[in-house]
Amino acid sequence: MHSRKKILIVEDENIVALDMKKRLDHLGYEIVDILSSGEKAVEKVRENKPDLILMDIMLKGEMDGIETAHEIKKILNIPIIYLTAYSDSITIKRAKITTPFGYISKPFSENDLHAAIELAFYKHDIELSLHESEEWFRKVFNASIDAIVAIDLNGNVILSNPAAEKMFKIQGEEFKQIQLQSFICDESKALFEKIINSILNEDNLSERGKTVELVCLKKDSMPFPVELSLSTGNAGGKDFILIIFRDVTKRKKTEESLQKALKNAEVASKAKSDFLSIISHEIRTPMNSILGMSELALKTKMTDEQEEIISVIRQSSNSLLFLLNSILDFSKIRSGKIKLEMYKFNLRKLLEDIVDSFYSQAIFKGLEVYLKINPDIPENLIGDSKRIRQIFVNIISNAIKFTEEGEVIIRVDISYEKSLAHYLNKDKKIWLHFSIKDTGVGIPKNKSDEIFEDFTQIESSYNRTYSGTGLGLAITKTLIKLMGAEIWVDSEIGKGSTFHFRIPFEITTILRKSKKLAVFKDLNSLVVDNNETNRKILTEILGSLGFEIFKIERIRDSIDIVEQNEISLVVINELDYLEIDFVTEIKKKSKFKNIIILLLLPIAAIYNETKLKDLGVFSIVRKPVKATELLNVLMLAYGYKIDKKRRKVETQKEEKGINILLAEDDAGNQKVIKRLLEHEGYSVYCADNGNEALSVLSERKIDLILMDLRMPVLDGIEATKIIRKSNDNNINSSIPIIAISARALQQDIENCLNIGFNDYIVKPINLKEFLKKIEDILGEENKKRTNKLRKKNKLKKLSIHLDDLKRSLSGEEYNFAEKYAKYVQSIAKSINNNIIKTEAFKIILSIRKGDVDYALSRFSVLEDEAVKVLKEK
Amino acid sequence: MKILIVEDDFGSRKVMQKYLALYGDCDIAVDGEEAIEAFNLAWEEGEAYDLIFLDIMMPKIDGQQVLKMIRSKENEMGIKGTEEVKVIMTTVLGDPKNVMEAFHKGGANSYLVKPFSQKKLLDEIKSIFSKNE
Repeated sequence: MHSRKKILIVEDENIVALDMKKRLDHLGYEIVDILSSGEKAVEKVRENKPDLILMDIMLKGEMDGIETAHEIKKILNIPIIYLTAYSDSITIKRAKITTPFGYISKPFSENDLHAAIELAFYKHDIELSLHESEEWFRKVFNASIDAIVAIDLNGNVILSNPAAEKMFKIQGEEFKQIQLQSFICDESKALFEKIINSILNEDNLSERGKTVELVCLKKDSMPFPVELSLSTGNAGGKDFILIIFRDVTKRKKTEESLQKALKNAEVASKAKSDFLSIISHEIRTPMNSILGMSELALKTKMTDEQEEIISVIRQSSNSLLFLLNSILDFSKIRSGKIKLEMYKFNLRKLLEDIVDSFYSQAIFKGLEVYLKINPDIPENLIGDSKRIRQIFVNIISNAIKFTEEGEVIIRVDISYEKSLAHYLNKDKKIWLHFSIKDTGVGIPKNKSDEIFEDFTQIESSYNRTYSGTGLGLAITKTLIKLMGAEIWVDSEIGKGSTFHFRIPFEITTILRKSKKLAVFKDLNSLVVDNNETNRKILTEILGSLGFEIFKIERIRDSIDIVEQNEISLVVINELDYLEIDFVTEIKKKSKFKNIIILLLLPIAAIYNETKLKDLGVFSIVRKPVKATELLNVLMLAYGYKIDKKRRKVETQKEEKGINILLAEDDAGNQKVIKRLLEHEGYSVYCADNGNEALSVLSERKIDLILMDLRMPVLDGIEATKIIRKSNDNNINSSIPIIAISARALQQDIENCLNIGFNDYIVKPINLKEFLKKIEDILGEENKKRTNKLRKKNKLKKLSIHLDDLKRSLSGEEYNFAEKYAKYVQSIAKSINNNIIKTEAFKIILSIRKGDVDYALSRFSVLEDEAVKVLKEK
Repeated sequence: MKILIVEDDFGSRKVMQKYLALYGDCDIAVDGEEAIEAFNLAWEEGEAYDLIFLDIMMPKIDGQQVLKMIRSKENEMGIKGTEEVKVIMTTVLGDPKNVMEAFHKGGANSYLVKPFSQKKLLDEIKSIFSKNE
């Protein structure tokens, strides 16, 4: 319930006052008091705040009603209603000053009173909220850092905030006497007028709220830059324009200094590369005479010692020259002074050449270097072979430098994704994807961008672990950029890095239609589409990818075609829901279990993907069909299938595939396990008991035995014992054997492992675990085998380098002898032979010293040991 | 005197070898790994080095690390004070950080900034050996 409004009555005629009280009570108001004089009223208001006052104008005493109201207004903002019998103009004029809320002439009815009071409350509420919101806006207006100025249509200032006064250095009242135009700098005046006009133009709404930059003047004519935003309005029937000025002096200064800094940096950078290039030239000049003269000196008659000295000078000069050339090259590339020279070249020859040049370096570290080039790549390409060589040399030498053990694999492939336009016969460009993979130290993730920056080596401390200027990759990256190519690196610490780059090449001949993308060659596809244009597009794309194409208009005709031809791909352009069953039908009738069905749908079509996939749709492709997108989907679809196919082919073809012997007496189990393993691509031979297992083992090459523990005639445990002890040359006594048993006690398992089983599987077999165990064991065997192979290779190398060393020592070719001794030393290290390692090192030290006799004597010790090692194998 | 020159630059080590040929039996190691190997080998053969020239900036194991390894090996063998091998660090960088590290942490006897003359080299050797007498 509303609390009752409190009303104070100020009336000196008692009867009138009591009458009013009675009426007010009746109307539901609370009467605070009835007072007869102004003084009392003022006092009362102070202590007991009423909501409204009914004030008689004519009061006895010193203050009349109007004066009293005036005093009360100073204390409290409450509505006051005058009561009077008179309404002469002088009184009304006086009363007006106190902004009364009502004016009731006596005598009045109860209704008059009620209406006057309620109206007064209503007006008062509105006034309060107006006052409040104005207060808010005034605060904002006054507190704004930006200057806010309103002008009338003649340009006279009608309103301004303190910030404006501060900005223009002018006092508030003064402002109003000045036209805003006079604050605008002369050169900005035209612009200012233009924006004022355009904002007044109703049609040009877009100008509203836009900011404009121009120059203003302070009162003292000091110019300063501002940003303006304008809007228009109407108050009291008068149009005005509101302008907000923001002083942007600071920002301008920052911008200027940034510009300056940028320019300075550019100048400095240019100066640096100019300096580099000049200084390099200057250093090259004397280098020329040093190199030339040592060259000449070497042709004159000299003692051996003199010759050696001059050789060292020549060699050191050469390495200095190489360094200078890289710096020069770098600064040239950086300053954009080099241009690519495009000629026809043979990629394979180039790469083979580069790899050859790294051969000795790789051998020295015991690394293998492989080069794998996709045979589909055209022989002759057009490009800057010199720069491509440079890129390869940089990356391969890094790969070798940062790899201590393992291999470096260089692969070249066609980037199908990038070369699509080419396969669509639209472009003579083909993109090749090069990758150089090493098994080296790797690059931390957060550094993989940094390494392409200038002069950066990951460990750029003084104790460089790896020599080099760190220029190589920076040059490489710049060259790649110049070729419009891209480079990136995948790496894992400790596992190695793979540098990838893709370069576009022009090719000399357009591919003939017959030469198609090998991936989809000779695959049959069916296009179901009733739109001729669409069909054409699809035919073109699929055709260029290598597909053979069948075309039909209606899906109902597709079943026959699928049934009669080896269709592996069906592309359907839109599908009515009445036709959905045909998809299932196609799947059923196809000769391929995994026939790929693609559905083309308009870009906005809504469909239930899960349902379509359940029906057998491989993927939905949105129209318009983009070739890249289609290719991606197809790669995904066929990538999976091709892999599967290949694996199957391998198991069928390869006689040397993995052979598993399954010794199991239960025919049912035997069948299940056999089928299961064959499905995974293993070849399986079965035996019903231990004896049979032994005879199979001696007849066939078996890689792994699955041995049931409980079998008649000869059980699994005994059979395994026999195998492990076997001296028979036909039986590999260390062949991996996995026990199969229904018992799973820890003790049983331990027993089996003690007897010589490699692992233990409990029946019923958990397929996943079972296959994993087999793979693990075979993987280990494989590892052992490759280790053996590696060691064999190492020994082979050892014997070769031993011969080399012997030959060079007796031939007095000591430079070579040192090199070969180093090879021998590093091989000895990798096969853990200390004697050979130490003796080789002694030979190295004595060769460097020139103590040939000692070297020869150490060699004979080394040779004896090596012969022993080589015999052992 | 038995000397080991550890230096990865071919020219530099040839020069040092020539400079020192008359003053001792010089072995050469081309990197930190070889340096340690040579150091160990000399001890095994009972003929430890008297003086080692150690390049600071080298691939694989740098000179500072080699120095630390040599000193800790000597420590294991109970070799102390004047019995320790004299080590002269060689560097192209004349920066104090390197030099301080070599002296205070590694226990180097002296250092030379490359390139240096034969006279400078011989003076340095003399001054090291006279300190201990």
